Amino acid sequence: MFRLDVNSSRGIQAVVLSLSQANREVRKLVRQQSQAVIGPEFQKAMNEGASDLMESKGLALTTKTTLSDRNVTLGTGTKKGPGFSGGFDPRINARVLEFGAKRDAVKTYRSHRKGGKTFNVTRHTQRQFKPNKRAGYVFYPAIAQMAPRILSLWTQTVVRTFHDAMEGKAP
Amino acid sequence: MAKPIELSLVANVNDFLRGTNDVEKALEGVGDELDGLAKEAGRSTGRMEQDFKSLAREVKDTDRVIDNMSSSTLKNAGSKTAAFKQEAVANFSEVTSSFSGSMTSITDLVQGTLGGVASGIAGPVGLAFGGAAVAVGLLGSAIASVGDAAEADGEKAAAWAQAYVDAGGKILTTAQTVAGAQEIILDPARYQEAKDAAEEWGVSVSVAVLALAGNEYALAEATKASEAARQQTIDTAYEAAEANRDLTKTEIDFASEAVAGGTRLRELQGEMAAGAQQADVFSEALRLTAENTEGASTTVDEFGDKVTALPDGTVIYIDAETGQATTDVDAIKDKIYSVPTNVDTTVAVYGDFTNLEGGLANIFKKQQKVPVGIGVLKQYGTNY
Repeated sequence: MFRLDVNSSRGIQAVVLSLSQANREVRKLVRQQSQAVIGPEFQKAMNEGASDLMESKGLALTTKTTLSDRNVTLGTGTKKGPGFSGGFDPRINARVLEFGAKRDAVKTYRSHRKGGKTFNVTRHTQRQFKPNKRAGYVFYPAIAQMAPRILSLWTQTVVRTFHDAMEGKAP
Repeated sequence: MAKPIELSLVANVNDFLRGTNDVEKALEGVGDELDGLAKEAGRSTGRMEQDFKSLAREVKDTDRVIDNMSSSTLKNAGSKTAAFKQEAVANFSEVTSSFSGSMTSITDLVQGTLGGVASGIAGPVGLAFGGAAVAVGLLGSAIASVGDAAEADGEKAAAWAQAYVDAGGKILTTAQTVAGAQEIILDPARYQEAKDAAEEWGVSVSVAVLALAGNEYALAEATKASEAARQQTIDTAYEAAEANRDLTKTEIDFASEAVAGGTRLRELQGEMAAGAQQADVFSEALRLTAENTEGASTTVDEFGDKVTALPDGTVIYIDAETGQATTDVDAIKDKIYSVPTNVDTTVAVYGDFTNLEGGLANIFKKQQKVPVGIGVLKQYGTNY
C-alpha cells in the first residue's frame, strides 16, 4: 500500500544498482547524509501527526529511521521513550496507540471484603485508548504523506553524494 | 511480545538484486536505453544523436572509473567529471526542448536522465538534479497507482461508453454533463476528488467538476492549465540543472502536483477515449445490422445521412460525416437543434418517434430548415 515496488520504478532501480556498485566509503556517506535529511523530516511528520500526549510520547518520540544500501525503513515504538507513570512500554504496546484498542473490553476479577467475603469486580481496562482503526492514527498516515518525498530525498542524496565523491569533495 | 512497528518503503529489492546476476551488465543495459533514446531523438536533430551516443560511451567508461575508485583516488577523479557535467547540462536542455508536449514524454525524460545516473553514477549530475523534479512526481504517482486502478478503469470506461451511446455521438449532451456534475457534487468522495483535481490543475472547483463530468469546454480549460504547470516545471528543472543547484521544497511540491494533475487528466481522457471506443463498437454493430438485414429499406436524406428502416420497425440512423450509427431519435433531434435557428416560430411535432418509418424520418429531418420552437424543446426536455 505504501511500499513502492522496485520493479515499477526505474529511479529506485538506478539508486539500488548504483549503490550496490559503489565502494564502502561512498555507501557510508550516502547512508549518513540520507539519514541526516530523511530522519528529521519523518520525525517532524510524526510530531505533527500526534494528536495527544500519549501519541506524542509513545509514537512520535520513539520514531526511528534506518537507512540501508537498498532500502529506507521507518519505525515507531523502537525505544522505551520518556517513561510513563503507569509503566506503559512503547516497545511492547505501541500498536495500541497506532491501531487503537477494544474500548469495550472488560476484565472481571474476584475481590473481597474485610470479613473475607468475596465478590466479582468488572472493570473496563482499555477505555483510555482510541477505538480500533486499521489505517492507523499516526505512523501510517505519516508514511502515506511522506513516502514519495522520502524516496525522492534518498534519490537526490545518492546523486549528490556520488557527484561530490567524483569531484573529490568531502561532504 | 510484540515488536516495534516497522515498514520498509521499497519492496522486492532483495529479489531484484538477486535476480540481477551481472550488475555491470544491468547498468550497461540502461546505457543502451540511452542509446535507443538517442536514435529516436535523432530524427529531429543529428547533433543530439551524437551527444547521446558519446554520453552513452562515456557512461560505460565511467563504470570502470567508479569500480576502481577508492578513497585515495577520489581526488584525482575530480577533473574528469567537469567535462561530463558540461555535456550533461547540454543534453538536458536538448531533451527538454525535444518534448513533444505529451505527458508521456516526461517519463521518457526521467528514464533517460535517471538511467544515465544509474549506469554511470557519472557526471550527469545537473541532468539528474533537473530530472529529480520530475522524478518526485513520478515516484509519487507510481505509489498512488498501486492498487485496483486497472479494474476501476474498465468500469469507468464502461460508464463513459454508456454515456456516449446515450448521446448517440462523440459529444455528450449538455443535459448529460449537467447531470454528471450534479452527481459529483452530491457525492462527498467524488467531490473531494474534484477539489483535489482543481488544485492540481490550477482551475476553479466548478471547472474541475464539469471536466470530470466530461464537459468539453472544462476539459480544454483543465488541459490548458495543466499544460502551463507542466511547462513551468520543466523550466524550473532546466534552470536548476543549469545553476547546478538542488530544487527547493516549494519547487518539488509544485512539480509533483503538476505531474499528479497531468496523470489525473491523462487517466480521465484515457477513460473517455476507451469509453468512446466501446461506444464505437456498438455504433459499428448497428451499422452492420442496417446494411445486412434482409428487407430493410434505406433512404438517403438531403444531408447524405442514411436512414434505414428495419422490417420490425427499428430505425437506424447513420451520420454521413462521422459514420456514427444510432437508434436514438433524440439524437436525431439534437442534430436538428444543433443547426442555428431563431427560436421564434413554433413547430409542433408530436407523435411516437420510436417506430418512425423511414419516410417519416425524412419528413422530420426536412423540418430542420424551419426554425424549431420552444414547444418541441419543452416536449423533449433538451436543455439548450
